Amino acid sequence: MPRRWFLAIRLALAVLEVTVALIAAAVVAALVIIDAWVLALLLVGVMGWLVFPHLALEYLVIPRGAYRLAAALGRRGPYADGARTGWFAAARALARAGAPADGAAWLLAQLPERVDAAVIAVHGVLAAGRDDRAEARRLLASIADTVDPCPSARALAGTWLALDAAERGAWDELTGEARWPATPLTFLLEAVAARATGAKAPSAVNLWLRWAIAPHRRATLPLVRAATRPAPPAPPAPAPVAGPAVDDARAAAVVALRQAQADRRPADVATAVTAWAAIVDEPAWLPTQQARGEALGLAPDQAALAATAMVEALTAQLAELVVAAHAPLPAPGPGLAGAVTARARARILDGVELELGLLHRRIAADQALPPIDEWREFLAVRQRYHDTVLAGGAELAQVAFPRANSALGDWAVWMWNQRRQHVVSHAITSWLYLQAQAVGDAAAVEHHGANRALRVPTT
Amino acid sequence: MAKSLFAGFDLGTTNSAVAVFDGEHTEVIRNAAGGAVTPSVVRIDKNGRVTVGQRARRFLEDDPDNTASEWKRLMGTGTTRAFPAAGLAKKPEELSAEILRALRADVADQLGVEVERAVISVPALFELPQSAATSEAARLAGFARVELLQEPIASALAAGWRADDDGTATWLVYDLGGGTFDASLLETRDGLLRVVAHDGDNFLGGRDFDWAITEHLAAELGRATGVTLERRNPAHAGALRLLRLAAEDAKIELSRATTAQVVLARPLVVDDRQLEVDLTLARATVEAITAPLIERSLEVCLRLLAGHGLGPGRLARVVMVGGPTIMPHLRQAVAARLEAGLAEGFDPMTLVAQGAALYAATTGLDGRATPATAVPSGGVKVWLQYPPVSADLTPHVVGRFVGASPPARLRLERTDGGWQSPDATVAADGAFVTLTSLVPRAASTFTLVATDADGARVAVEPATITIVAGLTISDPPLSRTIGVALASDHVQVYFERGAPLPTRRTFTHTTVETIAPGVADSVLRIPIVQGELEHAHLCRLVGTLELRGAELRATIPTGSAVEVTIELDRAGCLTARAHVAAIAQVFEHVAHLLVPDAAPAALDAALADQRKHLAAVRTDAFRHGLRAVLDKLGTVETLLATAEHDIDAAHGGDADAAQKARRTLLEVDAILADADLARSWPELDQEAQAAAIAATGAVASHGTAAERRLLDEVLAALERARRARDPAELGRQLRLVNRLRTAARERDPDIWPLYLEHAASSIHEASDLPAAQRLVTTARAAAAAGDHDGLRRAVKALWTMLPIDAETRRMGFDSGVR
Amino acid sequence: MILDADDPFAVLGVAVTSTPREIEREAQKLLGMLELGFADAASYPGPGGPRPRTADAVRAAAATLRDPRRRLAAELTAGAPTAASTPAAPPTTPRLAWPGALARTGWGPRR
Repeated sequence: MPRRWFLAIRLALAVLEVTVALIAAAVVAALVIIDAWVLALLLVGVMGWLVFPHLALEYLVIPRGAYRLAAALGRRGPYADGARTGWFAAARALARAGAPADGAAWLLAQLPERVDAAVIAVHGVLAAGRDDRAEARRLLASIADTVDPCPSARALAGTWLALDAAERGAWDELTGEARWPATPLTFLLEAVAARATGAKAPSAVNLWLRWAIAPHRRATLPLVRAATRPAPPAPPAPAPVAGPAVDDARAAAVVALRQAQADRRPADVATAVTAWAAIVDEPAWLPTQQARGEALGLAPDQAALAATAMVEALTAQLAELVVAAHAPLPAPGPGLAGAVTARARARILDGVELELGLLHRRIAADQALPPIDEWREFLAVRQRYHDTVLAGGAELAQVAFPRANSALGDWAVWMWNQRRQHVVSHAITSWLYLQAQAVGDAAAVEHHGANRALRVPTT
Repeated sequence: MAKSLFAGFDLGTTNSAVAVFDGEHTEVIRNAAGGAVTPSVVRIDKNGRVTVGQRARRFLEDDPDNTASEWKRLMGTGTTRAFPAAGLAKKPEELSAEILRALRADVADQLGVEVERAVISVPALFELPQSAATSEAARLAGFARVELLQEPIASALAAGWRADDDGTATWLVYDLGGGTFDASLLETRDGLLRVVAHDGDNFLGGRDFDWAITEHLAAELGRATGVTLERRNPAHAGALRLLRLAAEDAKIELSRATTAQVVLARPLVVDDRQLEVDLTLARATVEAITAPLIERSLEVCLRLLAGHGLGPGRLARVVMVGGPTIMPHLRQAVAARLEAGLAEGFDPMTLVAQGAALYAATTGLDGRATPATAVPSGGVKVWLQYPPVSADLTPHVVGRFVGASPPARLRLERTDGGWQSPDATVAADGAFVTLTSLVPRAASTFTLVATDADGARVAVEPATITIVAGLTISDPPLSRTIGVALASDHVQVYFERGAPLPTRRTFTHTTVETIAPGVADSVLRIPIVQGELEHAHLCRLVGTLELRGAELRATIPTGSAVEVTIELDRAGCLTARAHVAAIAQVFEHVAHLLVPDAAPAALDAALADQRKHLAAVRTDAFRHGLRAVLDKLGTVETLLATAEHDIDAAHGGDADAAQKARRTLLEVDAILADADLARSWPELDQEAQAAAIAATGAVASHGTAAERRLLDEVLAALERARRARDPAELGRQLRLVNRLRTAARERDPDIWPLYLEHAASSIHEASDLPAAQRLVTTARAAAAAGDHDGLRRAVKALWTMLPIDAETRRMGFDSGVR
Repeated sequence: MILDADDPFAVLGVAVTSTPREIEREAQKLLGMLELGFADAASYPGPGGPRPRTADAVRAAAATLRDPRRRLAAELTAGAPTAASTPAAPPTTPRLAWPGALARTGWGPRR
C-alpha cells in the first residue's frame, strides 16, 4: 500500500469497519428483538471470528507469551498467509517470554529447511527475545536484501525495526526513503520521526489521525503528545571545559591518542596520527630517545633498538585504531603516517583474505553450516568487508575484490546447486554484482549479472 | 619472639637441596645421611616402600627397573614411570613429590618446623605445563602454598644479596645442571636485581657430559672386546647404565686427580657375553671429549652477551651453578672465554636452594603456616607492612593500630642507637606511615615507640621489627612470553617474558569462522601458546580454550568479538576465560595440554621428511645460486645429525632424548620455513615481471581507458611490493594484473578461436558431453562465419560445462600464488 | 601496545624523572597501604578521572618502570593532563525517545 494513500485508505477502512460493526450490531439487536436467537448468535459468531483472533493475539495471547496458542490462532485465523502468521505470532509470544530454549526449539522445528524472509524474521524476533538486540537488528534488516517478496515478513521487520529505533530515539533511521511496507504503527512512528528530526513534518492533525488508526493507542499516547508539543529551544552547546593548557607537543599527542582510543572516531584517529607523526618524524627524536635509554641503563645498541621498538609499537597501535575506526586510509607515504597506512592496509587485507580463505576451504570441504547460519555468515562477511575494505577506500576494494569474488562466487554456486538455498545464494550473487560494478570488473559483472537473473523459487 | 623461617627448595635433575633463611643467615639443611644434597632418585620396592636419595641411588645399579632418576625433564609430559616390583606407575610430579617430602622431613628433623609454605626453584626455560607439574608435586608433598622462582634468579640472589657493589653491575649466571643449561644475564642497580635476559639449552646438562664419557668408554671397551654397545638397542640399556654410573664416578674423581680407573665390581653382560671392565681414563681425555659440550654452552653465553651489546670482559662476575661446574677445566674455559672473574666461595650445589630461601624472605613467605607470635605483651596491637628484606636503605613502614583509641604518635628507634625516625602522626583510624634507615649489608632492628596525646609512652605489640638490607627482587617474573595463537599463525602476546606474577590481561579477538550451536564438530579453538617466536606454530601450545558447538546458546557468526582473559597466579598456573558478548556466554573450559608426546616412529618420519625438504630447498638454491639461502641451511645439517643421534637413543627407550629430538626438529622446521620463503621469492618476482609485461601488452592494445589507468596504478603498487619484498602484497597485485590482462584479452577477437580450441581439448571432462559437442560445432561455425559474438557466447557456455577449476585458473583469480 | 589504560607513573604517583629507588620505595609503601586498607591509596588521578588502584596494578607499574625499555616507552606516553582537557561528549538523550517501545507494544521481552 503506497504511503501516500495509506492514511486515506486506512481511515476509509476504519470507517467501513465501524459502519459494518454498527450495522451488524443493529441487525443482531433486531434479531434479538424478533427472538431469532439462533441467527443472532450466528452473526455474532461470524463477526467475532473476523475480529476476535486478531484482537486476542495482539492484546491477550502474545503479551502473555502463550506461544503454542499464538501459533494455533495465527494458523487457523482468517489470515491470507496462515502458516507464516502463526510462526510470527509464536515468535513474538516467545520473545515476550524471553525466548525459552525449549519453546524456541519447538518453533524452529516447524520452519522449512530453506532460508527465506520468514525464516530470517523468526530468528530475528527470537534473537530480540534473548535480548540480543544487535543480532535481531542485523537479521531483520537483512530481510530487505532477500529476493523473497514475503510482505508479512517485511511488515514484521519494518515494525520491529521502527519500534527499536523509537526506543533508542534514533529517529533518523525512520526518515528518508521507506524500505519497508507501511503498517499503521510504523506509519505513526514515521510521522513522529519526521517531527523529531524536523524533516517535512506532518501536521498535528495528521499525526493524531495516524495515532487513531494505529494499535496500542494507550501506549503511544504520551509519545504523540510529546511530538505535537512545540520543540523546546535547544540547550546551549556545552562550552568546552578549559583544561590545563597542553603546551608540550608530546603531551598533546598522548591526549589525542587517548581520545582516539576512547571513541575511535575517524577524525580523532587522524588527529592522533598527525600529532605523533610530527613528534616521531622529527630527525632529533630518535637520538634523544636513544640517549634517554642509555641514561636509563641500556647498552647503546639496546637503546637504539628500544627507540625503534617504540616507533613500531606506536605504528601498530595507531594502525589498529585506523582499522577500528573504519576510516579511509590516507595515501601511502613516508614517515609514521605512511607506516601506519601500510600497516593498517596489510591488516585489513590479511584479515579479509584469511577469512575468505577459511570460507573457501569450508565450501571446498563441503562443510555445511545450518542454513540460517550460512545467512548469518554472509551478513558477517559482508559487514566486515564494508567496515574494513570499503571503508578503506577504492584502492583497497580494487585489491581485495578478486579474492572476495572467487570465495563468495564459489559459495553462491555451492549454496545454489548443492544446498538449494536459493535465497542465500541470490543475495551473495547480488552483492558480488554490486561490488564488481564498483571496481569495474567487466567479466565479474557479466557473470554475476547472469546468475542474478536466475529465477529464485519462492513459496 | 621466635624468628621467621623462610625455606627454599632446589628440585634438581640429579640432586636436590633445601636451605632456610632466618632473616639474617642462610643455612643448608643436611639430610639424614649428612649430605648437603639429596640425589633425585626414587626407589619403590616390591612392598611399595619408597626410598629416596643416596640410599635409593645405590639401587640404580642393582635394580634399575624399580629405581627412577632424571625425570625432571619429563615433568608435564604425561609419561609415567613403572615400578614393576610394586606394580605401580608414577608420574614425574609424584616422584618429585617424594623428594620434596623427604627434604621437608629433613627440615622438620633438624629445626622442628613443618614447612608449609616455601619457594621452589625451576629452570628458567620451564614452560607452563612443567611449572604446573612442579606446583602439583609440592601440593602432593603437603605444602599449603608455594611460589616458583627461576633458578638463575635464585643463584644470583644467593651470590649477591649482600654484594658490595652499590652501583650498576652486570652478572652472568652459568648454570649447568644435570639436564639443562641456563645462562642468565642479570643486572644489579641500586641493590635491585633484574633479569636482563636469559638463554639456554633445555637439553644440555651434566648428563650429556656423562653420556659423552660413557660413549667413549663403550668405544674403548669395544676396541678391547669387539662388542659394540648401542644406545639404540634396548638390550644394551642395562650395560650402558652401569657404564654410565662408572663414568659419573670417574668424572668426579678427575676433578681432583689427573687419571681415574674405571673398574666395575661385576663383569658387564652384553649379548650373553661377560665383559670385564678395567679402563683408565685420563683427565686430558675427558677434557677433549667434553670440550664440544663446553663450547656449546659458551656459544649460548656469547650469543646472550652479544644480543645485549656486551662483549666478553664486560661482566662484573660470573656465578657458576650446578654440579658439573666443579670440573676445573670447565671453570677455566668459562673464565677465559668470557674474560670475567668467577664468583668464588659459593657452593654451586646448594646456591639455588639458598637463593630460593632468600626469595621466600623478600616476598614474606614464612615457612610456618601461622607465624610464631610474641608472647602477648599486653600492648596495643598494630598491623605492620614493611619489607623483610630491602635493597632500599630508607624503606617505608606502614601500619594501622587495632582498636578504638590508637596512640597519637609513633616513632622508630634503631636498637643500635644510631638513628631514630621523626614522630609520625597516627590518624584517627589508626593508620600511619613512617620511614626507616637501615644499616647497609646488615639486619637492623627497630623499637616501636608510641605515645599518646599527652606524650606518655604506650606499649605496642609487636614491640620491634627487623629489616635486612640486601639484594631484592620484587615479584616472580614470567619466564617465557605467553599469548594466543591467531588464525594467521601470528601470536597476540598477552604477557611478555619478565612480566610480574600474578597477572591478568584481556584482549578482544574476532572470530574467523561461524560456530553453530548443536553441531558437534563445530568448535572454535583459542590456543594459548608460550614462546618468543613470531609464528605460533613454532611456539609451545600450553592449553586451548574451546568454544564447542554443543555448549553454545546461539550461533557465533564470523567476525564476532571474543574477549579472552588469561590469568596467571604466582606459581605460574594458568586460567583462561572467553566471553562472547553477542550471545552473553562465558567459556572457561581450558583443555590443559601436556608437552606433546614424542614417539620414536613419528620422530623417524619427521626426520625423513625434513631431510627430503632440506634436499629440495638446497637443490633449488643451488640452481638459482641463492647464497643467502645456502647460508641459512648450514646449521640444519648439524641439527639433523644431533636429532638422529637422539632419535637413536629414543628407540632405546630414552624418553628424554625423544623430547630433545622433537625440539631440535622444531628448530629445523623454523629454519627451513625461513629458507623456503627466501627461495620462493625470486620465482614470485619473476612471475610478477612476466605478468606485468604480458598485461601491459594486452591492455595497451585492447584495454579500455579505465583499464589502462588502473593498470598504471597496479603496476606502481606491484613495483612497491617488489621493492619491499612483501610476498603477500605482491601476490595481491599479481592477481589484479592478471585480471586486467584477462579482461583485455577477451576483447581481442583473435583470442577466442584459441580459447575455443583450448576448451575443446578438455571436452571429455564436460558435465554434459553431447551438449558440449554441439556447442563446439556451433562455435566453430561462428568462427568460420566471423561471428565474434556468437563465438564468444558459445565458448562461455562451454566453459560452464567444464570443471570449474579450468575456468577460474584461466581467469587468473587464483594463480596458485600466495 | 604503547599506550595502556594505566599510566604507570600515575599509578605510583611518582614523577617521570624519579629514580628507580624512589619508584621501588613508593611501590612498596603503596602495597603496604593497600594491604592495610588505607582509603587514600585506593584510587589515583588517572587520565579521564580517578581510577582504582589495586595491588596488581601497583606491581605491574613497578615492573614496567623497572625495565629500562618499558620505562622509556612509559615516559613517552606519561604525564598527559588528566580529565578536563578532553571533555567527553555529553551523553545526548535524544528528545522524544520512547523507552520500552518494544515491550509496551508486545514485541519485546516483558520488563
